[in-house]
Amino acid sequence: MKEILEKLEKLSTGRPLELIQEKAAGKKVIEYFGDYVPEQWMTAAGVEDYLIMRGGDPQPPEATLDYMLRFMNPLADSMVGNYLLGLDAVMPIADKIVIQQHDSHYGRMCEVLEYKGLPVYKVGVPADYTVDISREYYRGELGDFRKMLEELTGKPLDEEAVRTCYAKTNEINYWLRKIDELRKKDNPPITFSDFIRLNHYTMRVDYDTSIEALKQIYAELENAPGAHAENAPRILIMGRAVAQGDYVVPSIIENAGGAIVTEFLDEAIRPFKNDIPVEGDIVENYAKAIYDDKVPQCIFQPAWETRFEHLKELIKEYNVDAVLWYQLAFDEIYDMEHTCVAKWIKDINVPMMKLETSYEYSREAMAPLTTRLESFVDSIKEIKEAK
Amino acid sequence: MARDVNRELLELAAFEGEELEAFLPRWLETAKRCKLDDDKVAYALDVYLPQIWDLKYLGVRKMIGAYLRELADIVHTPEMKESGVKILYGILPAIANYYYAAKIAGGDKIFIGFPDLLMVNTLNSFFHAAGPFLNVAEEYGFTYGCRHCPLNKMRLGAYVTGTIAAPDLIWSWGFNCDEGPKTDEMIQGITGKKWN
Repeated sequence: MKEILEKLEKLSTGRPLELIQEKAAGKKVIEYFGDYVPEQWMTAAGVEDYLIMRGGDPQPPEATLDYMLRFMNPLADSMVGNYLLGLDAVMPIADKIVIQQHDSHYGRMCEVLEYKGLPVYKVGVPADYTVDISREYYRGELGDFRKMLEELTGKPLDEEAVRTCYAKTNEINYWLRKIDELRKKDNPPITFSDFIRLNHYTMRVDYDTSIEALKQIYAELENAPGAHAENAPRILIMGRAVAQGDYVVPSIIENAGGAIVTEFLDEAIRPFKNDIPVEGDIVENYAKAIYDDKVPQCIFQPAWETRFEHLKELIKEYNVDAVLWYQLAFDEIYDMEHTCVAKWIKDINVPMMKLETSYEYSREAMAPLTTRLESFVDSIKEIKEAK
Repeated sequence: MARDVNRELLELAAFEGEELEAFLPRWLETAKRCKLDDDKVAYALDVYLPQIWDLKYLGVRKMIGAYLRELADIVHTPEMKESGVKILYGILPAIANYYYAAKIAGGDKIFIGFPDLLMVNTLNSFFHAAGPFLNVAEEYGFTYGCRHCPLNKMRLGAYVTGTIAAPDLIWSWGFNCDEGPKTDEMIQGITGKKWN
């Protein structure tokens, strides 16, 4: 598996250069953010797309302070900060920067990109996702996005090509689910660090490469021994995102003897449990699978009770011993949800620890962070042993 | 003779004669519910109001009076609700004409107010005294470190202390922020479904 991951890492790292070359050869390039922007349509339209999902570095958020208040979450900050620092090679050459508008943090940061003169295109995503007017609105937004794509490429969107792309991403989802299923074993053969990296790679490399790699990894893992210590505490990580590059916290937990066996994350992860039907209307299928029927994001409303029910299902399904609430600094809605979850989770007697990150992983910050996470893992071990 | 600071306050706010006498008991109850003791009112009279507001203008003093009346209404919503009046709240920013329409349709059977705005504005602008409610909200989970909005904190703090009634309907808007509408979900999550 190591070799496959290294190969995917190399391809993933080389993707910006590939896009620069494609752009020079006349191809259109779109950098985008969010599950509510259909990547399959861009691929089907022959556009080269690149998902914004990098985080874990403190410098990009700092770089935005000339333009923005410091009270923005560091992942949204990174979207702009990476551009300002020249760390995002795709944004300056992108024909469009398509960003879903589901959340104020991304809304505000988009305005900085607009202020810098970049070609931002917004896809509106209403928070009250259960009502008809919102569902119609989102479908309308998808319709507008389609028109924009058609104008950009100068040709109608090929619906058959979209269906093919849906089928491909469904196949990626299928293999991710197969690998994910292995995480339910007493000792999962894959760590979260590798699983989330794998997710990130599938959003960087082309569909066929992803499918082939996932198939091979599954074949290797199917009967592989566990990747963790025996009887390791089983942890669920919950929050907005573990971004590409933000791997410090999972690594510390794993090094301390914990096993993160599942996740409940809203962004920077492929929605691999939500396939998009191939037959039928392409807009309706996408909207229904990704907007109407998916477990709501934290920002949606009402969401938290539904999300807590989902959390309970995950805890049961993956035999979870404890929850790590992984919160981005100044991410106020997740902070509020945490208050409710902390109250409700007491009733099911599952320990939960809240950890906030501003992507500050300096040497000075690492020692207390490591101590805290090690203590968390140790305390869960003790609880588990006492049972 | 002990100083009657609440009477002085109402006089400063351009209440006079029968109107003052009629409002004084309601104001005393309002001050009690808002944790405005005599020391706080005296501080407002002697220091804070003269420092912050240009009190030589009658309009300014009448504006203070209008806010005191609004505050009195807001903190008496529990009694209103008990007597069958429907409670409709809003948050800012909002489009006002819907509230006017509701008021025209509902008349005296409906009370409309913006509780957090009125409480933060009145308590902080005239008494520098919103803090206790914000502290309660922090104890209930609106953490300090995340820099939550004081208006939303006030909504929670005022409700959990029993200072305002649960609304029959709250019309929350999310023009510029996500937190306003989500605060209602949080209040429900903490206190239950009475908060609509």
